Amino acid sequence: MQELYYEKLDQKVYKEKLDNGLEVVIVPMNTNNKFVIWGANVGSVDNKFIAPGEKDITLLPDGIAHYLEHKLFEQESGRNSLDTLTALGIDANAYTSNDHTAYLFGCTDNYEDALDEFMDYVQHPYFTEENIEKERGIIGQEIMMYDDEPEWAVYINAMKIMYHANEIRIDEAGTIETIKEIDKENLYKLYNSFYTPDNMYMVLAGNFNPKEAILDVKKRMIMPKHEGELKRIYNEEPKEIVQKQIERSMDISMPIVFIGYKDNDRTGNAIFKDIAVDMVGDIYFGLGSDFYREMYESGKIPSVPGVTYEFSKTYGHVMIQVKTPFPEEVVSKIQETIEKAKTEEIPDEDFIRYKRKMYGEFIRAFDNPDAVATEILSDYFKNVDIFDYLDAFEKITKKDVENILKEVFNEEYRVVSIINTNE
Amino acid sequence: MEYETREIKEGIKLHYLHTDKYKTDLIYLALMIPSKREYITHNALLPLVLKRGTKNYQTQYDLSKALDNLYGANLSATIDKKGDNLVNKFTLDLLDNRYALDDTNIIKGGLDIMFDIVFNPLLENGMFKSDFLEAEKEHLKYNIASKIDDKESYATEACVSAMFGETGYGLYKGGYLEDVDSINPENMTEFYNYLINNAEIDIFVSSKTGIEEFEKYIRENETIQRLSPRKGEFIEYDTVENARPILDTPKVITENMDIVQGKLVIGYDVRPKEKEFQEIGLVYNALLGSAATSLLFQNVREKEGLCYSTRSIFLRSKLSLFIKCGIQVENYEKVLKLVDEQLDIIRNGEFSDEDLSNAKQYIIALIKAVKEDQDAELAYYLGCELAKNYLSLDEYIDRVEKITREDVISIAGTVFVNTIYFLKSLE
Repeated sequence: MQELYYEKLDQKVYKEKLDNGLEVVIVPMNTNNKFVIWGANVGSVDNKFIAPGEKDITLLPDGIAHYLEHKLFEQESGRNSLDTLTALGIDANAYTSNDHTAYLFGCTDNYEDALDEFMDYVQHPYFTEENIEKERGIIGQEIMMYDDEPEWAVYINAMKIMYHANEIRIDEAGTIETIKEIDKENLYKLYNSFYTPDNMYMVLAGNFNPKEAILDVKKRMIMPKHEGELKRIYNEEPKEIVQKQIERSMDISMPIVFIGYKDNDRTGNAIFKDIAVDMVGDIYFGLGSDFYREMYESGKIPSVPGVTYEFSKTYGHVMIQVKTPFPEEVVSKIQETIEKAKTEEIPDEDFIRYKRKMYGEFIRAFDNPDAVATEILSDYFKNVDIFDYLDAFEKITKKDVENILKEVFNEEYRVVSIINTNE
Repeated sequence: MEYETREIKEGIKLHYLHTDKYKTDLIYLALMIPSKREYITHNALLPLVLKRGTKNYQTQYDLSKALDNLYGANLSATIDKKGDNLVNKFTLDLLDNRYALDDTNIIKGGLDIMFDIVFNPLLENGMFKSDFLEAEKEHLKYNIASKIDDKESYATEACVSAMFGETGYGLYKGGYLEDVDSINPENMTEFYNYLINNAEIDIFVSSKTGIEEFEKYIRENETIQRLSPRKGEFIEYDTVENARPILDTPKVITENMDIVQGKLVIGYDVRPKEKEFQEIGLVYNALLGSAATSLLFQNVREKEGLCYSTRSIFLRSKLSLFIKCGIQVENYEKVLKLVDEQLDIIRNGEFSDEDLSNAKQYIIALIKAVKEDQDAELAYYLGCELAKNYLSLDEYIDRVEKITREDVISIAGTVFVNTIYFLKSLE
């Protein structure tokens, strides 16, 4: 077992790769809670692949990774593992994102029983036509719930005009139409191809003794080592965007504006980009910025715009989002602010203040085992090590940020998505 | 001593909870007053105006930079309803001093800024500045209008308002659009002075750093020194004796919006026979609809596939229960009937011992989890202090364990439909 120590966090981290190829990470923390998350490197973007030993491409319906996540809880005995865990007083859940699916639980008592049930249901898929059919109604309702959310609508529209073919533009849960195509065969196909130890990752955070914890996991591990290679197939994506703007109306109180910048470069330092975009958001659009002062005081925006960099192995884009009664004007002003920022040097005072703030927030984020384990796992599936952020905060220079601003916030690859009110 | 209360002066208390687990220091400053229609909108406007500037930090930009420089100190404000009372809660979360890279006193700095914002606003001729006030009135209007963006929350508020009327708990804590224009510097300042001079003030702290240091900074703070002692006014939670009467026929309200999924919210009156019914109510609620093992989750969602999201909420302060479901519009009648059936199942004792045990386990696990979450734990003590009903987490668990089948059947027999609210799509 590998032992690592991060001084600034006063945190030890243990890593071991099991015989079957599964990587396990253990983060002992000062709490009574035990939190476990087990993820598979398959998400909504993974709808095409060549299964090991096969020649032909398998194409699966949109929303299948999410569907599988719902169904994995069903056991052959007829019981649902989510029920069993809840009955033990365990807080259990699962989620599907663009690039991974994760199963998780947290508890203070009954850990051994919980781990039994948890590792049992993840390793034993059981799908029948009947239990699949019943889920269609539930997932249909889930899809409809998202359809009424303006934050979701403005985002998915932006993805559809930013990308011609990249799978990020697929609805994560699928649509009412696509989920009709999901059946026993294709669920098993997905499971057998992607839920293999070499394609999965497990993180335990909280009240753990590393030696005991790894033994507990090994005892319950039945997945064999996986032979053969899975070939993922992603669509070719041209550099250009599809169209510059998209609009839609919904029954909401105030329009929402979303500006996206497509980042075609997959080779740059993703962590630096993440930090730089966050810093740009804070300095040029945050509470202390000229933009905010002007827009807030003139009643053009009610709150600070959200500025983030969303990325994984196959995509990356900047997202700027804000509610405003004056969508066109605010879009213009945001554009103007960015173009002006590209010509200026970041003030030293702002740079230093931002770094102190980031350092403080990062350290505090490590108080919570759920958050720690989930971040470690989701960063892993983006090919990023969360602990590299510590160094990056120190090493990143003003010049790095200024360069990223110029390269990534590129007018040519900018899209605008607006949700208007129905009036 | 793990949890300790010290009086700073009459009506102003420090409640301290020691922790070894977190690098974060969490501080709440809570001001509680009765919830009244005449000032509910002023109350909603207050945090927006306070954050605009203080005598020491005259713009929100100066405030923001000062907080950032304290290693990203975070200050936020919420308004909560506790029965017929309003609680203005200001939350400060800070990196504890020992983790600073230099000798910055983050704790003292953070407390000073928080007290400055709440007790030392920037005034002009002794009143709130009219330019700050006018700008924030516009923002308040936006906030109130944005009620419709979260459909489930909108539906819940509509049901609550129909059940309780425009008074106490029935008031919308975000304020009312029709009130905003008539707010001016005079009446805003008048409300503010009423709040500062009469509210019960409670400061809660969760930290590795000791109580002595916190007490020192609080007592030495000038704005705290200027505060007068006060009695505070707390409106007691509803009791079966003083609660409003049960309805013979429930109210049925339907509203239309351009939405895809319908939101159903059913409000019930609960009139338990037992004097101590809090834990019985919670276990009943878990059995009915808060756990994944619950009847609503199992029968309405899992068996019938009629919804993705469904749950029940037990509100002890108002002797009520709410059931919420997101459903397809055409299933309205079907779901109403099915929900009724779940209530009958419990009334008739048709649930198994396993069901009851699952419900109890669920609640106990939630209580245990409170100890492991800094915010949840501090909020638990806040709840106890505000309701003047202190129960340690261990005692709480003990009580839940003792709940019997008969207890649950008994409370089930005192649950009556009051209002059915349905938000549906346009025809």
